Amino acid sequence: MALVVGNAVSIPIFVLPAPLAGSVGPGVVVAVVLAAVPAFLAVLYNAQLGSAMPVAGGLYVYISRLIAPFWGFLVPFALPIVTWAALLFAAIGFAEYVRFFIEIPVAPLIYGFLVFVLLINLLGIKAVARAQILFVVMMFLSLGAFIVPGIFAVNPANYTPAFPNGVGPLGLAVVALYYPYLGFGLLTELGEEIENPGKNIPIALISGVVTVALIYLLFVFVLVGVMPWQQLGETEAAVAVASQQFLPWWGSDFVAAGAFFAVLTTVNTTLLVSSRTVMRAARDGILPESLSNIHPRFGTPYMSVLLLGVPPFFIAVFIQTEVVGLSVFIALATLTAMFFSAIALWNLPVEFPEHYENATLKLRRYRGLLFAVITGMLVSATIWAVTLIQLPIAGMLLVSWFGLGYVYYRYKLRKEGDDVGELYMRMVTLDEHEEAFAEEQTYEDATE
Amino acid sequence: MPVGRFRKNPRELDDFEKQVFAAQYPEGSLLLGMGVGLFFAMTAKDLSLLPSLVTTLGTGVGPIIGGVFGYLLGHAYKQRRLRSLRRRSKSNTHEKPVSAEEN
Repeated sequence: MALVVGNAVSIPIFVLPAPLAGSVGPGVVVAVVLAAVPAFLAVLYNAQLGSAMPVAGGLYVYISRLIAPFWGFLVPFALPIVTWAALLFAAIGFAEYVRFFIEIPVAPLIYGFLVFVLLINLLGIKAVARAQILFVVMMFLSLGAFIVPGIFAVNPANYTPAFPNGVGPLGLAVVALYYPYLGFGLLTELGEEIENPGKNIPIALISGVVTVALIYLLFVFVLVGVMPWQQLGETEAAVAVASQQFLPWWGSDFVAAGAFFAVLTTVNTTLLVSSRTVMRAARDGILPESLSNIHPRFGTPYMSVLLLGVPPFFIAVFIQTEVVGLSVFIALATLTAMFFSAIALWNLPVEFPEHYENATLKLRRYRGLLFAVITGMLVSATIWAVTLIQLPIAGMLLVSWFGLGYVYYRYKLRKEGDDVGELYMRMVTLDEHEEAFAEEQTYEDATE
Repeated sequence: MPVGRFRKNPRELDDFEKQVFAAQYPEGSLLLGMGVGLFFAMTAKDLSLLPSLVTTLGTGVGPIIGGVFGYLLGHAYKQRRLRSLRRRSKSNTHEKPVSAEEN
């Protein structure tokens, strides 16, 4: 639970709202509420799929087995580019808040951060989880230090006019603010590694999204209320600077330090989750087998961690400030996955009826499920359209990457030669122990 | 992209179906259609070929229309490829005994 909430809350709260307030105005609070809608739907899908079929590499497995192998393949194929963007985003945020304490050039901070993240993920999940709990506790204490006294310091005049530049920028802000909820995918991606997954995944996800949405709303409400939106748009480490309006110097330092830890919590889990999915696809044979190699000493999928963690060093040469663009790109990719999750969930009762029947959390197919699925598909399609209108380059980049994915996919098929049928079957069927989960509702026998 | 019903039980597919389904023609051409739709919409906007409102909306809707067309074309090609593979296999099996008799 600490991993999930820590990953979901961190970056957007400290880095995104200020630049978004600068373009949207105080109405960015509305964007926070609207962004919670697709987030809740995505969590609902993840909770149901995760409860029915807790597997390593969650979305990849669900989409390839329940819809079509190529759409599933796009999950691990798009993960590297999304992870690179997420790491850069976090590195930029980290640099921003370190510079609140001490004036150091941005570039060394970004590179130092990337090295740190790479090393921590190569050392393994236990080390990550141990550090994660400390980071999450620190982050929540600083959130409380900002929100609780901040509520009494807001100036109602700062909330008007709500949309000084019109409602145009609101759409893109909603997309960008969807990014923080990406962390909720963590539980379904780790699947098998979670104790009593059929029960714990839905509980953690649903309680987590409600908690996070509430914290997020309060946080942005206070931020916009204590500092005029024009200043927020131009201020680095805006949360810490805004807290200076109502906290003593040591209080603001504590808030800034919380942001520092919040950024760390996200990247801790970013590589952790992504590497599981890449590894699972490699096990199926659609990605190079070497990506599923486990380090003999640390027990981590070090090849996939390197694939995900090294390229940001090169990309950082070109991108060192563009947090909103990065978050829109990440959110768009995630919303695409949500669109397919909705279809996968709709197919679940037909394709794996036993898994569906025995799931702890399930909606009736022609009642709640149909409504949730159609709503989610419409919401993600609308958000795609809004993004294409306001930031078409993000959509173009993503579609091009998917197109490259198809070329690679066909290349892998060609390489398989006569064994193409076997590869196909691996990508559309579950492993034996995953099949058995429908009846056993545990992986204990399989892991013994 | 079957919605509500998987194409068939994968374990019941014959070798031709596995080969053709694995290629994922509809899915690939859906992406191609989306890219083409987006490209034309963006080009029309940049060159101001149509009124601003139309090109702006076109950027949002173009890829969706392109994707639907692409998917339908890919689906048609998939069926055609399957028929062609089956026909070729049939003619091969018909030819073999003939050539055996000749030998």
